[in-house]
Amino acid sequence: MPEHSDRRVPQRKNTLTHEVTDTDEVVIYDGNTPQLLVLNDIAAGVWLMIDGKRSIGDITAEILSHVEAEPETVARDVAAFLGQLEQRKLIAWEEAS
Amino acid sequence: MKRMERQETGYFLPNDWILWQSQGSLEALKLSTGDQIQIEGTPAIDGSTIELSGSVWESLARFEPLVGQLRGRLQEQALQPLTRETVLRGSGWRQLFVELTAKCNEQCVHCYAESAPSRTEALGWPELRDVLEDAKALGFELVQLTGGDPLISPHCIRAVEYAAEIGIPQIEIYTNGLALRGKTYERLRELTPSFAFSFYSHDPETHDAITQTPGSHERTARAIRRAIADGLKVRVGVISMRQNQHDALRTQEYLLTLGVAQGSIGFDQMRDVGRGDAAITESAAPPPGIQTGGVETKRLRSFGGTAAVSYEGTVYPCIFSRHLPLGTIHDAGLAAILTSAEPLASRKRNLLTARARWGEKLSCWECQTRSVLLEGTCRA
Repeated sequence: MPEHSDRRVPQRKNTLTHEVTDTDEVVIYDGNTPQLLVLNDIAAGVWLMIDGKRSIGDITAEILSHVEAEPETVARDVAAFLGQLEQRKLIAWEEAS
Repeated sequence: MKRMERQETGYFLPNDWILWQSQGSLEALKLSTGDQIQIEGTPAIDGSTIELSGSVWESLARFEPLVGQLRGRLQEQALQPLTRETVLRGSGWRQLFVELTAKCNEQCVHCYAESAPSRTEALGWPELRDVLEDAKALGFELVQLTGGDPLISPHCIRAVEYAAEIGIPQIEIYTNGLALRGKTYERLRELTPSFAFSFYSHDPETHDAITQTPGSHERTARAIRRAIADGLKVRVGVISMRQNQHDALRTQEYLLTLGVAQGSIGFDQMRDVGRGDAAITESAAPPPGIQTGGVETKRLRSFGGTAAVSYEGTVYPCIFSRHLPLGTIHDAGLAAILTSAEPLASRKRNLLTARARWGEKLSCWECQTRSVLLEGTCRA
C-alpha cells in the first residue's frame, strides 16, 4: 500500500495560535510554554492543511498536485514532519471515518 | 536578517541575555528576570534553514513581547562569545565577598561557612592586599568583609584603611558585633565603613540558641544601637529558620526600636550550604508581610557581578556557590581568575530544566543560572 494512502488524520492541539507571515512562513505559539515554532514555507503549507479532516494521504496527494516530486519521497517527508509535530505535542492523531 | 548558525554556539548579549543559537533554533534567557524563550524552526520538509527575517521577528513579537525586546537588543548591540568572564561579570562587577577568617566567636547552627571558635584558616595580609587591589582594578562597587567574624581577623582594620586608600567605593563589614568594641570600634568609627549585622530574634533565648553563644543577643543589640547612634550606616540580616520563623514580625519590630531603618532589615531564607545543609529539615521561609532579601529577589535588576574569596583563598561566584570553585588566589590573582576568557560549553541547553536541577542545591535563582552556565569549567 503506498504511503500516501495513510488514513491517519492529524488534528491540531486546540490551545495553539498561529500566524502566517508576509514571507509565507508560519509562527506557532503555545501560550502554555515559552516555545515558539517557526515553519518554513513548505512546512507551513502542510501545517495549514491540517484541519482535522484531511488524512496524511490527502495531504500528500494535495502536495503532489502542486509540485513535481517522487510520491514516496513526499509521503515520507510529510509523515516525518507530522511525526515531529506529534513529538512536540502540537498534533494528535485520529483515524479517518 | 539574522541567519541561524549550524553550530550550536553560546553568546552573551550585554547586559541582559544569554543566547544559544544552532541550526533552526534560538534559545534565549533574559538574565534580569529569568524569562526564557525558545524559538525553533522545522527544516524537516525540505532541509532548508529557518531565517529570522523581519517579517518573522514581527510575527513572533506579536505573540511574545520578549521577542520584541530581544530583537531590539540585537539591533543595538553585538553578541559576545559566552565566556566565564561574561557570565560572572554580567552587568558589571558589583559585590566582592572576602572572608577574612573562618574563626568566629559564635557558632551559628546554620552557618554556611561552618565557622567556629576553633577554626584557624584565614587570609594573610599580602594576599588580602592583592585581593583588594584586584577588586579596585576590576571596578567592584562594594567589598564586603565577612568570615567567620571579620573583626576577629588581625587585618580587618588594615583592610578597611587600605580599601579607602586605594579608592574602593564602599566597604561593608558583616559581623555579629560581639567584637565591635574598644579600640577596634573607635578606629572603625573614624573610617566609617558600613555595617551589616547578623541577628536572629527579639527573644534572647532564641537568638542565643541559634548562635550557640550565651549573652550574644545582648551584645549584638548593643553594638547595633551604638553604631546607629554614632551615625554609621547599618543594616541587619535575619536568617529565617524553624527556630525563629514564628516570631519574625516581633523581631522586625524589635530591630526598629533599636533604630534600624525599616528598609535596612532584610529577612532571608537559610541556604543548604555548610551547616545549613544539615540544619534544613523543613521549609522556613519568612512569613508573608516580611521584607525579604535574596530568595525573593528572583527578578533582579541586574545579573551577575558578584564573587567571593574564601578564608582559604578559593574564589567562588558567590559565598553560597561553594560547589563552583573557580580557582585559588594562591595559584593566580583574583583578577586573572575572574576575567578568564575560557569559553563555556557551547551546547544547546534547556536552561529551565537544568536550573531546576541546581535548584535542589541552591535556593537563589541567580546562583542556579550561573551554575548551569559555569558547570564543567570549575575545579572539582
